[in-house]
Amino acid sequence: MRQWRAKVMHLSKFLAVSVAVLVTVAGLGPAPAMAHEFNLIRMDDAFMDFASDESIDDHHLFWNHFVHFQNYDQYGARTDLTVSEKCRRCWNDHTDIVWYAWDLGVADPDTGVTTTGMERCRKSYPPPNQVCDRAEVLFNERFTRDISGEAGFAIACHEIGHAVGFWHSDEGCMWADFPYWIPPSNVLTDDMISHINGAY
Amino acid sequence: MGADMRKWIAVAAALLLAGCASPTSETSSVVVAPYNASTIPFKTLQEFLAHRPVIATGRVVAVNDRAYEVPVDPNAEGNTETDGPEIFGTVSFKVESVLKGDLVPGATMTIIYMSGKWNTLEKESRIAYTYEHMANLQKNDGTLKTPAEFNGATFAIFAQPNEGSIPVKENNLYRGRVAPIDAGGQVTFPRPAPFESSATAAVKLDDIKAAIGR
Ligand SMILES: [Zn+2]
Repeated sequence: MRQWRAKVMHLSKFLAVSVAVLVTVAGLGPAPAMAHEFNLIRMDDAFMDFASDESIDDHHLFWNHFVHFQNYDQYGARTDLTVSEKCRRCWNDHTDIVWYAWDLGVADPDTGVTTTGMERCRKSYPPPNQVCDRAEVLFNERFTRDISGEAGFAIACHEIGHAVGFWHSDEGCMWADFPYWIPPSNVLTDDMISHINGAY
Repeated sequence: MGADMRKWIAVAAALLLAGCASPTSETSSVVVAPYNASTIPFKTLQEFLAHRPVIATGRVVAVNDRAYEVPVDPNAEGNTETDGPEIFGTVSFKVESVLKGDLVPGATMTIIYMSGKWNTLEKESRIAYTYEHMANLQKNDGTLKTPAEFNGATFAIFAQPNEGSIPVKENNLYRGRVAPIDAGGQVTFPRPAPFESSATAAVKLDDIKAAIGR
C-alpha cells in the first residue's frame, strides 16, 4: 500500500498531473488470456496517467468523485483509478486519459437520445499500431448533481472501460444499454480487472 | 518474350500498382477507433420523435467521409496546441417523403458527422471514427458505403439542423441518424436504442407517421 502511494506521489510530482490511474499488478496468479480487442490504449510509461480538463468547479468536484474508485480482482490485484488533487489543464501529451464534463444535451444531435457519457480517441499512435495514445472521456453536464451515486460510478466505470479497451458486453459495467448502472453491473468484474492488470 | 507480352505485363504491373499501392499508402496513415456514446433510450417512440425536429425518408445520393476539416480550439477543454484538425463527413439523401420539418420531397438533405481527426498539425496520420448508430452507412474501415453499394435502399432519417454544433459554416446541413426501411415498411434502428424496447428497436413506418400525426 505504502509503495503505491509513494509511486502516485512521485508520478504527480514528476508529470505534474492531477489525476493518476495507477494499475498495480499483483503477480499472485496467472493473468487470463487477453481478449484481442483489449489493449486500445498504449501508455507512455509504466503508469496510466489520468487527468481532468474540467474548468468548472461544480462539474469537476461531482465527476471527480466517481472517477476515483478502486477494485480488487480475485487474486487480490488492485486496480486504482486514483485522484490525487484537483488540477486544471495541467496535463500534457504524455497523459493517457483526459476527462471533462460537457453539455451533451437531453437529445444528442446525432443519435437523438440522451447521452450519459462518451469516450473517443483523440490522438493515436501512427499505424500499424492500432492503439490510442490519448483517449478522452466526457460526462454529460446535465447529470452533474442529478444522478445517484450508483449511476455516477457506473458511467465512470463504463467510459473508462471503453478507454482502456473494453467493448460493450454483458460483463460488469460494459453493458451497452440502460440500466447498466444497477449493481452489481456498475463496476468492473474480476475478469475485467485481471485483463487490465495483465495488459497494463 | 514478345513485345506484346512485355507490354501486357507492364500494363498488368501498372494496374497492380494502381490497385494496391495508393490505397495502402492511404490506409497506412489511418487508425480506426470506435466513437463510444453511452445513452439512455426514451421511454416511448413518441418521446424520441418529439426530440427530432426533422423526420423524412430518402435514398443515399452522395457520400464523402472527409468533406470538411476544422482546426480544433486549443483553449477548449480536451485539446492541446499540437492537436490536428477534426474531420467531418457527409451523407446526402434525396428526400422522398417528409414526415416532419421544413423539407420538401425531391430536395437533397445532407447529414454531417465527425468522421475523424488528424493526430497532429502536420497531418501525417489520422483517426477514423466508427459509430454504432451509423452501422448501416459505414464500413469497418470508417469510410462510407457508396450510393451504388446502398443498392437503392430507403432510409428513415431522424435529424435536426446542424446549427453550429459542428463548426462548419455551410447552410442546410443536418445532424442525425438513419434506420433502413424494408419492403414491408418496417424501420429497424441500429444501436443505440432510441426508445425502450424488449428486442430490436423496430417499428412500422406507419406507426411513426401515426405518432407524429401524419
Ligand atoms: Zn458504451
